[in-house]
Amino acid sequence: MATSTLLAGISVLIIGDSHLANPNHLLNSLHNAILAQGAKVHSIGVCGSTPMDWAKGAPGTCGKAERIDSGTAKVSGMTEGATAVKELLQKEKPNIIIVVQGDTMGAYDKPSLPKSWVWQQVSTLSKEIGTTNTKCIWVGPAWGTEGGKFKKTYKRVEELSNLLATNVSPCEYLDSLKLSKPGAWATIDGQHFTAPGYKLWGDAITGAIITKVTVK
Amino acid sequence: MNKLLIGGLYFFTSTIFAADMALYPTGPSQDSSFVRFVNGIDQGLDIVAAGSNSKVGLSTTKPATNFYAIAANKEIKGKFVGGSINSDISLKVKPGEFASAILVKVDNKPKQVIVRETPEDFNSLKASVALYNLAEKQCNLASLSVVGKGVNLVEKVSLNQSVRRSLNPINISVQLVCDGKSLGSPLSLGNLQAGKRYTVFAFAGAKEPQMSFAEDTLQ
Repeated sequence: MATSTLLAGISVLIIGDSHLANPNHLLNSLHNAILAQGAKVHSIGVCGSTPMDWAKGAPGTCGKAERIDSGTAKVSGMTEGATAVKELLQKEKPNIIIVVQGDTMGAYDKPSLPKSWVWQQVSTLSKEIGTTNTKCIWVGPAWGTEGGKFKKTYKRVEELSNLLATNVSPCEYLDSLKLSKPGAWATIDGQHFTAPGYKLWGDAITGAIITKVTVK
Repeated sequence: MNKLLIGGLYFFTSTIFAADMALYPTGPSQDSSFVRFVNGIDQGLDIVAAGSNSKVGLSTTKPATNFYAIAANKEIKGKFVGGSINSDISLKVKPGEFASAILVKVDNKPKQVIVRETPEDFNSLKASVALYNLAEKQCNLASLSVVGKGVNLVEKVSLNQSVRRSLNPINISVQLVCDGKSLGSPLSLGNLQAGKRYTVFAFAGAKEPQMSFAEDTLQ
């Protein structure tokens, strides 16, 4: 139920990776926070997905979940994957698309960031979205906590975020690193937050989006 | 009492902890690698892939293929073929590298040059232009000056090397400067676009170097 009308009349499509592919993650907090501003919201998360998966469409490997407006989350099987973004945009014609993509490109367990691959991934998806002239906001990775099974580090996530910031155009970059201090939001594995962590991230993203959409 | 405790614990854990997520890759095992093929001589050429024998034609007006994504550190084999030319291609490309296999002529004999770039300048808000100096004896050190601006876009590019520069997406023409002397005709690069990457090739000509321009497109 809307508690504000700041985004009333706006339809929002949110796509992303594992941060959206679980009913306790941004699929709950971000979806609800945008919904509470009066927008219509469709969120789709595919675990492990990268931008190229959304540019071309690709099967998943570790789960998918989806929500429409105030409906309950629909959780799909492990191989359910991403639909090509142009197909989604042509079908739904949202006013805004929000892309939550970052951590699946961090190569946190590798000695260096694969910049050419990240550029290929990001520029392919942002160009696809650009051809539809849909307003696009790209939400970059958050700090998380160092270590864990993904071996995330603050240095690498900062390097990744800086690369994304200059390569997501025509999307606008929403820098999640500016929304909290490193380690401020608790995680379960270095990369995925606890439910209170996801609430803080979802609320902070929503606040930043309202500013981007309403203050011009 | 136990049910209340268990119920309370369930509420607590489901509120505080999100469900465990599967471990998935956060990137490829190694960075992407790319290769393209360039015709730097004054006649049309075909690139013939080893094995499949598939062909791509390269004219003198459109001398470069797109960049093809390839497996890093694996040998790429093929041939430049055209007229009396039959020149084997064999190269490996490192992770993150963009390699160009280029056929030029030196003393009227075909010669292959491999130019390798490992870009650090990816930026969708800027255009990116490289100069490849392939002009052999006609140009030891090559620069590109911006026509009408009196500034160099890139400078002091050694033979068979490249230098790349990011710039705002504007409409410019460039003049090739070899060893301090302007040579050949200016070349219009047209309206450069943000996020796109381009290459100016300086090839040896009949009397003086010639420039050719290509967009560095991924296949």
